[in-house]
Amino acid sequence: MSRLLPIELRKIRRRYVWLLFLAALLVIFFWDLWAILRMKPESKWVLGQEYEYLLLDMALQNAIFLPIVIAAAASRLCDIELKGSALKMLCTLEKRIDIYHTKLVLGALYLLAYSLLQTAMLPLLVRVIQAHLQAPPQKMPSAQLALFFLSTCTVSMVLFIIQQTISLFSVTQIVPLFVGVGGSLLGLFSGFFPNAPFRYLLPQGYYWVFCTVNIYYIPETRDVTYYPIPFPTAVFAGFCAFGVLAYIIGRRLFMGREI
Amino acid sequence: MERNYVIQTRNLTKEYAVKKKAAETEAGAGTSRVVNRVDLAVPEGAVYGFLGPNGAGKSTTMKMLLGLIKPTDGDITILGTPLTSSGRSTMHERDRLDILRQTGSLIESPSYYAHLTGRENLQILCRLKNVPESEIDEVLALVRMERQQNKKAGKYSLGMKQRLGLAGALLGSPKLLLLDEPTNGLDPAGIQEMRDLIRTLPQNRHMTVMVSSHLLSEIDQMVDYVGVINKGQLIYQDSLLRLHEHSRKELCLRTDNNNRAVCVLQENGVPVQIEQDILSFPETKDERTVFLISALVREGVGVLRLWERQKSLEDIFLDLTGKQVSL
Repeated sequence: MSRLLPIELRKIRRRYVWLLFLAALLVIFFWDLWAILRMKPESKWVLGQEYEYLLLDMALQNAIFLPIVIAAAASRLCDIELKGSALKMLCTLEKRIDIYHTKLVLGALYLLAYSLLQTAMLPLLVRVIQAHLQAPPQKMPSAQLALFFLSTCTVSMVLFIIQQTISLFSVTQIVPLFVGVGGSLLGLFSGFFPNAPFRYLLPQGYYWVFCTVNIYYIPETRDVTYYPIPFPTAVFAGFCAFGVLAYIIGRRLFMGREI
Repeated sequence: MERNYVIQTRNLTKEYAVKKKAAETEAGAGTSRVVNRVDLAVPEGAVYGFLGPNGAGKSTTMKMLLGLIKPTDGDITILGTPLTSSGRSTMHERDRLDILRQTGSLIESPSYYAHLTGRENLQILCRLKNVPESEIDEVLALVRMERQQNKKAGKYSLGMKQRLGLAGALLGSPKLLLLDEPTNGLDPAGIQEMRDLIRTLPQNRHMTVMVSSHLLSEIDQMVDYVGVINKGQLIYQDSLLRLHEHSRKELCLRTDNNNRAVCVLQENGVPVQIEQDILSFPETKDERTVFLISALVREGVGVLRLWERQKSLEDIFLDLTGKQVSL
């Protein structure tokens, strides 16, 4: 498979898959920057909880953008094999399992880079808030950042596995993109019902589920308080098991497919 | 001397499950047998034509040879190595791929990456096949695509895509080339070029070529051996020369007493057939023909007409498949 990865990188020339992730990062960055620069000096509620504010914000933004970006990326990686019937040729030269894994590894690399850059963006934006509001520095919550990185990577990877499988079986790529857009809307919607059980049904909604920050809003004073919540380890383990199941099913479907 | 076969299959069978109402076939209710116990034997160094009407099972058979479709039953041996036995793989996939890497293929439609140029497509293939990129210019010249190599493959015409597909199949000088309807989409000049190229491959590049087509005229012009498949069954397999022998001339006769004429001819050792009041028998020397006619007249049989008829390849194909052949 290590031989196939450089070939895969050559194959996706001019597909600009990286641009999708970069665009999402830039939109999130400028969205947050805009929100920060709009903060008035009296927005004292954010002081001392800059990281928590951004962690919740980015979980929301990931729930909006990542299902669509992942669907588009998986589609662009897979439809090159379907458009020109290249899969037929590829399957006579390479092991099917390696073809499936190479695409998965490439997707994982993109997601890893995205998650790393997004996590690195957090302290940067916190500095902007502190500079803008002339606030004292806040101690970096390393554990929360690590969990944010881990959960973003994991949820995105599970979504990528699902999208890759759908894309490898869809000639027109309308279905995978529909799943991506629909998942984004439903995932976002599920976030507004933190106690409803149906939020656990949709993998796209897990960006919220694994967020280690919650919000408390007092309408009378318009004060917002962020407070840490424990990372749902058991749910995370269950979600990982679901991811493994999605991988096994996807792999089996691809291996058994007649071309 | 026993011939070496590059492809050999035994009882190669492919069944698909279908809705129970749709088919109750020989294979049994609920299944449709698209390839039925096919025993292929493709001799080394030959151009083997795989002929059959549309939907006869040509592509399915070729896909099974390449491992793209799993056979329901049967054995496949390629380049002397058994790939499957009783429909099950006999080797590790890596070893199977090592055999298939010595095989070039162009199945149904050409395989290409639409967003890459023709040359970039071949560069990818070189890496996949572990072939030096220096071979690209050679295969591009062979299929006459040097001038279009830097255009995106998605913008090629179907004919150009076929050429690119063939160039890719030729990379690495495979021992075996499987081409499924390779002249699809080509203009008449392109078809001629493709035929000429295929015909010369065994001699110039030491390849064995298996080429499928539903066009008898096409097969007739480029192959040494032919296999005819119809409704999933291999109904003929031998050299093209032998097939042509079937089209030898025969003499046709109309008489006023066919029953008596048959007796007279058979008494003289002539294998005679009756078809719609016409007697036919293999062409003989003129002197023998005179003798037979005289014998008929002597026995009181009135000879109404005598003429020579040649069975065309199309007639033979029609006899074999029961389908009108496309020309």
